[in-house]
Amino acid sequence: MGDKITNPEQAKENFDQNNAADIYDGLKSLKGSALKVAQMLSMEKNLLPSAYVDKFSLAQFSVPPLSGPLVRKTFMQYLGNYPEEIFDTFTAESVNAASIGQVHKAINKGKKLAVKIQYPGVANSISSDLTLVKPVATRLFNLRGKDSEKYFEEVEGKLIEETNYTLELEQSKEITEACSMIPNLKFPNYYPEFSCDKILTMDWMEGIHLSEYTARNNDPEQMQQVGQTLWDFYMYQMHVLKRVHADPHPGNFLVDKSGALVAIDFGCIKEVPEDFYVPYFELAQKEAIDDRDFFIDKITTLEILRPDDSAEDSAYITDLFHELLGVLTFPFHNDTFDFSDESFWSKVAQMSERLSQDEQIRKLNGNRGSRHFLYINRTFFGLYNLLHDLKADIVVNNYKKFI
Amino acid sequence: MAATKSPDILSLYMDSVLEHEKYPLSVYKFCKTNEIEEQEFYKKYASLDTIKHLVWQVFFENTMQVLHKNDGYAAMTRKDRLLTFYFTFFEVLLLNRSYVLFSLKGSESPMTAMGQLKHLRSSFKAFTTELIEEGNDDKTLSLAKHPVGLFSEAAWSQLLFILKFWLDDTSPAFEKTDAAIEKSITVAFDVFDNTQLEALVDLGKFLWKEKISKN
Repeated sequence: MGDKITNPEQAKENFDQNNAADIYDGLKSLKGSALKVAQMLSMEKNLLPSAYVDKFSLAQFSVPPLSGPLVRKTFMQYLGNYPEEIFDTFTAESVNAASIGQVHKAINKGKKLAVKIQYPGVANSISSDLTLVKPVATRLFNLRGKDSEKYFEEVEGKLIEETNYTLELEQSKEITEACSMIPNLKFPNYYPEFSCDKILTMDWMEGIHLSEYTARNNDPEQMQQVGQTLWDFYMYQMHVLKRVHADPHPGNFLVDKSGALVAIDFGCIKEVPEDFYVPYFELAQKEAIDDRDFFIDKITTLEILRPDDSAEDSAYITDLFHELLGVLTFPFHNDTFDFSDESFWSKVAQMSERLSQDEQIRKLNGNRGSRHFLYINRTFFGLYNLLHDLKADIVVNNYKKFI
Repeated sequence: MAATKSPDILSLYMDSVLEHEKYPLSVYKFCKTNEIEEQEFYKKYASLDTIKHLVWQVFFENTMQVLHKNDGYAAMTRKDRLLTFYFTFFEVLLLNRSYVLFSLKGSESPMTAMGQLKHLRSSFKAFTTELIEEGNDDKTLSLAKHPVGLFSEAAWSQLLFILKFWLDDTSPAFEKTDAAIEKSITVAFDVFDNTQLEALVDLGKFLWKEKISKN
């Protein structure tokens, strides 16, 4: 109160800082496995605001359930008929919550379908909601420089894409077709005739969620196969399609009775542009870590080193990323990699621990790194986590068989 | 939308309002321009104002017709019936949005414009009264029963609120109105099974009397 009378500017400043601190504490409470911690810390210490992506993923825009009449209205409005007219049966009660809507079960010509329906007005509210968090995020990640907008644009663009079910249907079909030759991998069929911007209809897939599967499975051989399939699926998307399902969340995968991996939910697809792809994966090679000049050249291309960094900062960041990438790209350095290897995870944990104590990182400008890092890193973090849970011992370049 | 009752004169009236961007002033001229016998007109309507009020009544009746065509309607919960009413009512209004916009936001002051809603008000209140009484029937404790007059008045205020929201809505396909309907009806029913709404309406009435009507 005293602040307010004597110095309103200062009071506002304190208020903002308190807010930022609250959010910061909230973010810290999200910790999960070792890698999640690494991810959190890399964010906390301003290396890259990648956790921003998770924090402001669509799950944050969770909505209450849609009433029966609103579901009917949405169908009438977009598909020109009521759901009970379109399908043989349509369960009025939703079976699942989707991030911004819900899923209903339907039967059409004897085939079980999953029908996802979006809450009205979500796409519209995303931009205004993001505007609210922008100042806090800017402060939190210490983003300096005009072009820090690029991160927000990236996130906003992806979130808005995720609310467009017509786009999701197209993306799903494309990736499904392109990856059809990968064995033990299944996708639902999509039904454009029963879909639109706000409604998405696909096959009802039988199976259990990946998280449940890893928790209960006692068939290590099958788990290996699921892990390799998941890895191949991602490597194929990354290296061949150069478009990738950027939300490897355990809820987006099922395992069916035969042990096949089922990929659902292609709302968030990240394009991997060539000028990002090349230096990013050059860094993943063992040689890049060993050749310092080459390394500096690549992290400069990827905008991790900024032209306005002082020589001291520059050397510091180079060392930091050298160590960070040395650990995180390790799975790519040999022909095979075992994600159940606890020595790898303890290295990750130790590094995170040390970084978290480092005062210098926090002072650095957080506006570094190409915008494409946000979703590509998130993809790898998610993928590593899933493979850890699956205890997968993978063959790194197995995907080349499918080209 | 063609009105069900005497579609000709009613539609002609609405067309005339939209074409001239003002209300017709005399029956004589209205009939002459539209080639109707004045006698014909007076057989059905007492004045032009009668039509203006009836337009809203017809919107309501069309809505009810659509509702009752839906086989599942009778079996729905009270909340779902009210929601279905709202979504359908605003679909009907959407077909006549230009007219609605003109009549509520066009030439007259908001208070005057409200006058044309009086038939709609009594029809809608009758509709919600049924819903409220049905809800009361489920209650054995007389204390928990809702005073029907008070609650149907509150329901009417809610309709006006959503109508205003829709008039000002600029979102694609008026999807924000859908969200407003969904959310506000859910809230209304959440408190309906509570006594809070009574207290709220009571407070509202008090404030209205004390603050607004005295200014």
